[in-house]
Amino acid sequence: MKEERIRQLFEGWMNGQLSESEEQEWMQLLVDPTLEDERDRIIGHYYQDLPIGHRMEPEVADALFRKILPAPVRELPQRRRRWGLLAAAVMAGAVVLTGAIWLAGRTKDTGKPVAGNVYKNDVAPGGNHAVLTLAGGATILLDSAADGNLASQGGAKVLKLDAGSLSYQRTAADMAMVYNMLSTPSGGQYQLILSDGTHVWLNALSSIRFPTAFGGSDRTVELTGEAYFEVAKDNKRPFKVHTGGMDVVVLGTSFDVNAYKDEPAIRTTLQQGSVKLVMDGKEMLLHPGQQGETEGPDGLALVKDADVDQALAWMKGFFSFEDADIQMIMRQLSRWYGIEVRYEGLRKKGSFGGKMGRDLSLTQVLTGLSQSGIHFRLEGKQLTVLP
Amino acid sequence: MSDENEKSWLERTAMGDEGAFRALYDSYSPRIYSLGMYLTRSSVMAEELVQDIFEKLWKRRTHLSEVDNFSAYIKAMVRNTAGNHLKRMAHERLILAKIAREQTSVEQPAELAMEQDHLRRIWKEAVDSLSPRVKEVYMLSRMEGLKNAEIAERLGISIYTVKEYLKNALSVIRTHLDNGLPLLVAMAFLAGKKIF
Repeated sequence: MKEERIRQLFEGWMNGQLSESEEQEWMQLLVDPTLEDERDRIIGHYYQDLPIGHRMEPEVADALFRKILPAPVRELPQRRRRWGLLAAAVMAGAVVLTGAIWLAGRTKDTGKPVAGNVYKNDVAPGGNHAVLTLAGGATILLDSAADGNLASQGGAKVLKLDAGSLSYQRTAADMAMVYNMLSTPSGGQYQLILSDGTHVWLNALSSIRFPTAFGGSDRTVELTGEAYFEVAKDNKRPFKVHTGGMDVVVLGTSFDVNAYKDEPAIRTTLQQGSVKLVMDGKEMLLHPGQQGETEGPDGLALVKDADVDQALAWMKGFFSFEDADIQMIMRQLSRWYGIEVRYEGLRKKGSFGGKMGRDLSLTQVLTGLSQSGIHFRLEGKQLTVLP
Repeated sequence: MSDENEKSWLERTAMGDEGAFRALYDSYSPRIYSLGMYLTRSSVMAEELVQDIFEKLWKRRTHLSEVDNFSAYIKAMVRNTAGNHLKRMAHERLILAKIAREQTSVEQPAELAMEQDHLRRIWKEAVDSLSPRVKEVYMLSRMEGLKNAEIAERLGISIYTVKEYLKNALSVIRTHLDNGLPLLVAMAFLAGKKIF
């Protein structure tokens, strides 16, 4: 009888005595709708009778509990526009966490954190802020500019598409090349569509200088800070990103360049296609999923354990850290919240991992971080990391 | 724990008190987690069982003050939820076993191939919808049989991340399986005698 058989097989599974074919037989009985009642009855017995033989680590139980309670990120109104959509698509597709969950990586300190924090105020997250510098040096504050046609620049029309993006559209051929520059402050981000259709996401405290319409032989832009590029394919005119003495040479592809001056190296993360890093006569070819970074004044190296998701998290609306030290996390927060960070006493050792929405306010992020045993004092725009 | 304590936790949880809910969690989650480990031998799935049950409890919290016998209430929930989790685990394993078989065997009866196509398609759709990194972790776990710690080491990520990725992969795959379930059950029956 099937009921008897499923009982035997349950028993054998629990004792680790099933052969491979018995295991398959058990699986078959588990999906048999006529046996559902018997299956659940057996589970009920095990629940009641078995001793507690396995336990979660306390940190795991804590983290799981935090995930069960609705996390603050879900309760926030959607403020991002196009960025919000992107983030939503990413969440729906794949991304792992919806809540503000930080797991203390290798730190042992799991004291009651929130009590140690002092917040005199809160700081709002960044948003769509940028300044456009035209060829003659005139600047347009994009936050307050109306949507629509902003200017005509060297054979291209400059259109503000919505609150967070700008598009260049070619209107005349063979004009002399004219450069514009788009810059974001701390707490700013902006999207730019170049005249060739290349899509650029500019992160906070960054700038990109580019021709309003590209010339015939190549497409070169200059970057400081960080941007993600989806380059329109054009085999005849390679796309080049020039930054800090290094060139990224592209045919048609998606990649991120992180060239902040306060980061230890210029890091290029390739998502699709292929790019070539060129520095001081040296060259390195990247394949999808790889990261390359500058090493010293003139070297290039492949990053071991490249993490594409982490490198691209910012443009999908997240902070994402894996094995990060506290200084690295703070550098990112300072750019996005426009804060100044100081350290009091010994700097916290250890590495941290986790993921959080960039639409959270600063104190929400800090409260999440303090689950890992770090404490903060926030006064105005001055953040102190406490030992 | 005394019944009176528990009654007060339930009442406070019903009013949205997270501390009281935490007390319920601390008191019941160890037994549920342990059961999950016995049944699935996977900490990822055991945690998922705990999460699933307590998320349901929190959603229904306003009714908790009316529950007379909470032990019986939660036992019924555990039976039902763990039963569903086991069923999904079985579906996933059956599909993986078939794929493994398909890769090794050369000749197959036509109807068997058709049925495998269907299962495979559901599974493959689900797997293809995962982000590359999540997919990589899932494949290493399920196709190469690596342990979570081995995956963490190989990919240079933390074991917590591996577990989060696996949870994500499993929930996506199970949603696909649940949607294709009626047909799938019929298929599993059909396949039963021939394959195993």
